[in-house]
Amino acid sequence: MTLFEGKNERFQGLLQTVDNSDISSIKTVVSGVMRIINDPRSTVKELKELIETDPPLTARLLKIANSAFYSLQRKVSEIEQAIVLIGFDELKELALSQKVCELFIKEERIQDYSRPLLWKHSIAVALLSKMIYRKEFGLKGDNIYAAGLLHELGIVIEDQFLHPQFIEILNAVHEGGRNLVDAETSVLGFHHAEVCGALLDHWSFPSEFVFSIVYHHSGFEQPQDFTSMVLTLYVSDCICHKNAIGYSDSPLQNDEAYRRCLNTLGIDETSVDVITVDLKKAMARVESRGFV
Amino acid sequence: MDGQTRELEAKVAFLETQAKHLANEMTLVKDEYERASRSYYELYSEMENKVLEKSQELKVMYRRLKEKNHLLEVILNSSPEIIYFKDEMSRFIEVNRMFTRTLGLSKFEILGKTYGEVFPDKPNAVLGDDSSVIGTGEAELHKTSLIETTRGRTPVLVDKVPYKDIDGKVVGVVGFVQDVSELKQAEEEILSSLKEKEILLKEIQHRVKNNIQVISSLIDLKSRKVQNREALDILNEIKNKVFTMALIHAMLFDADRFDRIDMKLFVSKLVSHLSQVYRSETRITPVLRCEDVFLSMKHAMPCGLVINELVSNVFKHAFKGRSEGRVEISLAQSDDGNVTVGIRDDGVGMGDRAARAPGAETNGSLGMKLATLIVRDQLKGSISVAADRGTSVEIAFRAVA
Repeated sequence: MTLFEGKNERFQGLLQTVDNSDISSIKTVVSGVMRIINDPRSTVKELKELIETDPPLTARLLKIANSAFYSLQRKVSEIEQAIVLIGFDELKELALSQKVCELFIKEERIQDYSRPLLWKHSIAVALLSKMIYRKEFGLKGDNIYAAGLLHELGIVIEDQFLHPQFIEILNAVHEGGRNLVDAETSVLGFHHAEVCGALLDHWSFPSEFVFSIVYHHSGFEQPQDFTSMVLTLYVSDCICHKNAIGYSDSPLQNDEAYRRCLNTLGIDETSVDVITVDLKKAMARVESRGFV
Repeated sequence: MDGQTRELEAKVAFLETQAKHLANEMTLVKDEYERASRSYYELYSEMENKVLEKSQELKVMYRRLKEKNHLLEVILNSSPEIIYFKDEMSRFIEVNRMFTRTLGLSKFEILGKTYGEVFPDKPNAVLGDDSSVIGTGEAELHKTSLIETTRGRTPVLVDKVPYKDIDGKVVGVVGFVQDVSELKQAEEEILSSLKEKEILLKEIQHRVKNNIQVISSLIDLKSRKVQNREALDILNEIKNKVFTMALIHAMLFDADRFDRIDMKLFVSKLVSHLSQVYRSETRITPVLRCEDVFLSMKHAMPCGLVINELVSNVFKHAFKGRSEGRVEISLAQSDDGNVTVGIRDDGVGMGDRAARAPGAETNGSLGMKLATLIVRDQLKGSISVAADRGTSVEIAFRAVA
């Protein structure tokens, strides 16, 4: 892919560092779930085997399955039972979110930013994007859900590996009123969407997925093939910002671009209102389960 | 358009959107449900196969367990001995067929109860009290007792071993009870038969002794009529030999056991007799250095004859021309059964008697020749003679019962 050609040395070095760090621990499970999502012949057995390669994740999922939320009649002690009782699709999403969540645990707060707030934003974007896909387009939206969870991973990477520069960037955003992407580009020479896209490309994620993350701030610049995914992610990001759900990396809203995107996607204002109501309910449910 | 109409229209639009969303969701859910059903069916099939597989394994294990139980039951019930298992509270947890048959009770009347509860009016310390085996974890073997059986009071031999679980903890007792009434009867018969044979043997010994004494008396009677000195010596020698044999038989007759003739006592009696027989002007002092040596008839008779020949030789020839002399007779037996006999004198030495030494059989005396032949042929031993300031004869042979 020519997408990341010409990036500076720091960008290449950063990718190398991330690939050798604890962040890459999510690679097996996340890419495995992505493969199951994108393979119509995949079976519940494959999901079970994938989850069982990660014992802490297995234990966490079984704990969730046995929690009061699911009110199951009997105790679940195997992933097979969890799949049957909770459901294949729900467990797939649960596995994905629980695994990605591991990277957003650190509590430190810098200006408006903290990883838990960023996680809340990510999960809201994931849920909202999926709702748009299902309710508006009649599509399953598994990929867009995963993209929503991962789309801000670049920020976590900057926070972890380029921390002094990251503080500088957040100060520029907070005090100077600048857009996060612009501040990142000016300090680092690249922005978080590019970092995340390059990493997922390196991990061999589907191209549609990589493109939607790279262009989630500038949807109209991307090749036309993946328009709906990129624009949905962008629109979801804006709606979450408007409703102040979690941390938002786009403080300067371009209302015109947002409306153009809605038009292109064929979503009217009423649909946005209905979906927003549903999102708030879904977020309340997620919060009640202690996932954010 | 007024505000109310706009509000109504907005509500209608909201509901229409919700309906559209619901329709889209329904289509998706239907597809997902179909796919999930297929997946669950696969999962259930797999789980069903696993259950089936496990059931088969369990069936095989159950069958093996049943076979092992059957084997144990066959072994227990085929045993001619009474076998029982008790728990740590001394309650019967299993008994074999021989147990119920011998004691005339059903398992139902025995299991779960202690010996005292099963037989309240027949206390039995050996079968009722297992505290020692349970407390120490050590077996208690070959205890004899009497128990009440369907055939009456029966002598039994009881072996009790600790019953340990797979972790080695003592959790009860396994008992083996052997009915020894037939053995007891056989033992009594053997003892009775032995007593009978003992009496018979004593009678034979008594008769042999008497016969030898008769022979000895006859020789004595005849020798009184013999005037020839040489002939008299020969008769005396024969008489001594007969005496020796009579002495051995007498000792055998007096002994508690036929296979243990007290050779120390024999030598003492023999030397005392020979001192009397060969009493002369020469004062000969016999010195006995004998240890406790016990021999069977097989070795005692030839050994006695050899000692008789050699000591007689000393009395007759060793101190010719001397006023006194000393003869030392020693007898010893090592732990591994080797017997050594020594006859040493401080007499005139072999001198012209050298030719009487063993090996010079053609010219030796009858006594020495006889001694040599007896040692070699009957005792399978060795004899050696040394002539240095007197004569010393050493005999060695192996006497193992």
